Amino acid sequence: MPISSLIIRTDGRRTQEIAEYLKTLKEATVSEVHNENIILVAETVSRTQDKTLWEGIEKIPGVLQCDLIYHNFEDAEGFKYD
Amino acid sequence: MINDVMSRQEFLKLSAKMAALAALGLGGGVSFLEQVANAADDKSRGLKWHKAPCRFCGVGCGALVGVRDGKVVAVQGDRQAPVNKGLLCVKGYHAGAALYGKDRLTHPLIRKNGQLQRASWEEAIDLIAGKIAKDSKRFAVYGSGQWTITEGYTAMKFLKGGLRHNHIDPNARLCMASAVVGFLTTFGADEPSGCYDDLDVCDTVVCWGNNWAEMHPVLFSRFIDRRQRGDKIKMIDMATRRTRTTEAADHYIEFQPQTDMLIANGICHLLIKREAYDKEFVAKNVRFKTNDEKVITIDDYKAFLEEYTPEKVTQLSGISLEQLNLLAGLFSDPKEKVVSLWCMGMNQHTRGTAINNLVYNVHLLSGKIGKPGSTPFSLTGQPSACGTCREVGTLAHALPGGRLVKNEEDRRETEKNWNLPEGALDPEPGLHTVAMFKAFVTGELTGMWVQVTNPGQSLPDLNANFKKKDQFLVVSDVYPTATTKLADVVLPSAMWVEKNGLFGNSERRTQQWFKMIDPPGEARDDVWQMIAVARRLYEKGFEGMKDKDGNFLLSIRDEGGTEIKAWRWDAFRSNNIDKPLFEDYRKFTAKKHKDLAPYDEYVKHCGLRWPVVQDAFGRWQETTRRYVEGEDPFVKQGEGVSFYMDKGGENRANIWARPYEPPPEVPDNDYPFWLCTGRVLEHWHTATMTRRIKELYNANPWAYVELNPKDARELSISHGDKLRVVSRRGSVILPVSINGRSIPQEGSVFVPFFDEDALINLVTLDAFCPLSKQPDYKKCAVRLEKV
Repeated sequence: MPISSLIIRTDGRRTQEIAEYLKTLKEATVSEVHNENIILVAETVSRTQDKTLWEGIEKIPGVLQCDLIYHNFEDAEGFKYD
Repeated sequence: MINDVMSRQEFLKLSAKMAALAALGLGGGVSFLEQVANAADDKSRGLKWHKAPCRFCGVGCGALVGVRDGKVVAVQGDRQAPVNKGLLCVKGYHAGAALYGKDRLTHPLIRKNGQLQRASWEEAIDLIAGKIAKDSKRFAVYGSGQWTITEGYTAMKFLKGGLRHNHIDPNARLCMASAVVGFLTTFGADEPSGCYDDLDVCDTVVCWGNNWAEMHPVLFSRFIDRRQRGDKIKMIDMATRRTRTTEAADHYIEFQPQTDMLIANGICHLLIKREAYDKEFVAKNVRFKTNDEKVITIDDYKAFLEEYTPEKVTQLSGISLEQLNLLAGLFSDPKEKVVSLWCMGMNQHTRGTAINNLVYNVHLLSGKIGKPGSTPFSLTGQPSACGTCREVGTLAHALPGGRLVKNEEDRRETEKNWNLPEGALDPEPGLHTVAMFKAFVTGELTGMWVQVTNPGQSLPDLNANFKKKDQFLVVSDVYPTATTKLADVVLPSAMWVEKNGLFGNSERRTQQWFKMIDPPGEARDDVWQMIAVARRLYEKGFEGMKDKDGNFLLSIRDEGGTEIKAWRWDAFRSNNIDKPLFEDYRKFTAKKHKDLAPYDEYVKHCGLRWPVVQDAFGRWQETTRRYVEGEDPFVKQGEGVSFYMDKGGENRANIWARPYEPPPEVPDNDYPFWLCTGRVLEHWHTATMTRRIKELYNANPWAYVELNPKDARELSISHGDKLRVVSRRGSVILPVSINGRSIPQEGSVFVPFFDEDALINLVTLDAFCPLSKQPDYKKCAVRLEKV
């Protein structure tokens, strides 16, 4: 299953609120909240879900930017010449 | 051991967390034992990590690519890479997946009876060589800012040395030619003098029509991160469209298209009127010139600026007096450290060179250049537009290392390095991109080889500029594209980590990587393709492919001096051809102070910024900022700032009196809207790679036309409706986006160009800057019809 980590950069006013919301997502674990940054580790069933999750996070009010730091996709479907 | 008590999933999660912590400078959150265990886990799983710059934009992020069993299986940002310090954007993160699209080209194809049919390499090479031999002076090469340095160098030597003319140009003509000519005319030398480090120490970033939150997101994060760490930084977004950059900006300054020229002159007008310019810096480092290149006095320049009053500038540009004063105030304050950033918004402009010059004027007049945190900085859109197109010089007028075909001394030096007879090189510049394709359409050129780019989608005014009858078109690429549809021969290419490579990024950083995996099927390197065709020409007795001693022009020798038979695929793939090719190119780099280090130095580093020269201890040292004493080895002690590439020999930069000039096509009753085109976060240029990645495709599957909500209300158009966007040249039907990610100003629409199924370049205008020959994709007039 694809595993990734994201740094979510917030506007600073809603960091805790966003972190609390992210904790409710079953695919993700909030690893750290540091100043206005949230580190999220995500484990999804597919790369499609991975991307959907990320897109959803970027639309949360107060989220300025999501940076992907790490991505392991060796077991993901379709990751071969086919 | 930890391996016994942690599952593999847990290890991967720990790796992910470690990477993120380290990227935030919080590596202490993970124990040494855990790090050791993680490394051991990678090893036990057969996963090997290798460095490579990202394959997409010009930022040049360092990636670590995880390879197992001959496949790329993981990508992470390289924490050792000074550019991105462990971050990657969505495109970089999917760079591995871009290798594995279902329809990778895996065999040569030749058109027979109207259909592209599978062929052998032997047949394809023979056909291409035969066509070239028949009409070599009318055979052009169209290349790319995605060519690696050695690919560009080989293509340049093939064409200028072998075919003995200059009809070679890259797609970079469409994205940064105005920046090149702007740098050359102002400083006498190309490429930014500043670097990304300036973003770490500046007070303010002024974006001149540049949506870097989406186009250069890692640099954007690098800057925004400072705000979150408590730095008091500001960002001013000057644009014609609200974007993600606007959301993070302190000030949004919306201006009418093309009036950036007025605003820049208006800032200088106020600096002069208020006596708020840096008099000492100007007296020592600057000269003034008119549009027709006459040297003038500062008083003449002041007289030129008289007409750019705040009243005129605000009235025509649409910005407020407060906004103009805000900008002038920033540049007036000697303590304020300001970086100006731009990319396509300024370069794709019918006065692209002039607006580049005008922004330099603002920085030169205010003395905001050559100091940490103060610099004008032109960003690039392709990974090696700088390294390959600008430094190697794969442009119709250029020779390697900043040389010009028109300059006799430059030609003689090149002939000597290539062992060509004196007079072999053609002094006449070749056709630039738009002229080249027009000549191809009319049959003035009878053949063309396109490598690593997709002009069938990216050229302006496609109806006029991309069609053919009997002309011979060869396309080297990794996927079928809008361009391969018209090709007579399609050659399958290796991409990114399937080959050895070197790229040069926006901050003069040259980065190297090794081949990590094999290309699929019979796909082969672009360098090999060029060498193989050249060799076939040589074998056919084609004189141009012989040096003055009768030897093969593209001969490559190993370190012992033995020739590598690189035209044979088995010999090519068993040798690292990049090293001797790079060393051959490197001989050209010192003359114009673009000095590069030996190949092996780049193997050791995550890139080095040129000029790279040896210090007193023999160590190769990069240059952070050019023209600055203590940083640039070519600035003498006591000089402070020295623009030593000045063609006038006075170590000065030019301030140009460039007047405002209106665009060639403006909205009218028949075509009442401005059209601006551009890119989006998820897709890279014509999306031949990113649209094949399911996740990126799903995130942004097709093009759309963005409307301002007020315009939409007046026209009774709703989100999701379909509109035909019509210009004098063509039309395209698109779904409407209102209040989406971005909002264009009233009276204008925006359409991204990534969608091969909805080609907005059927609509665009091919008018170009008279100096840089770069077309303006940002401004033409259209009407909207409900479908």
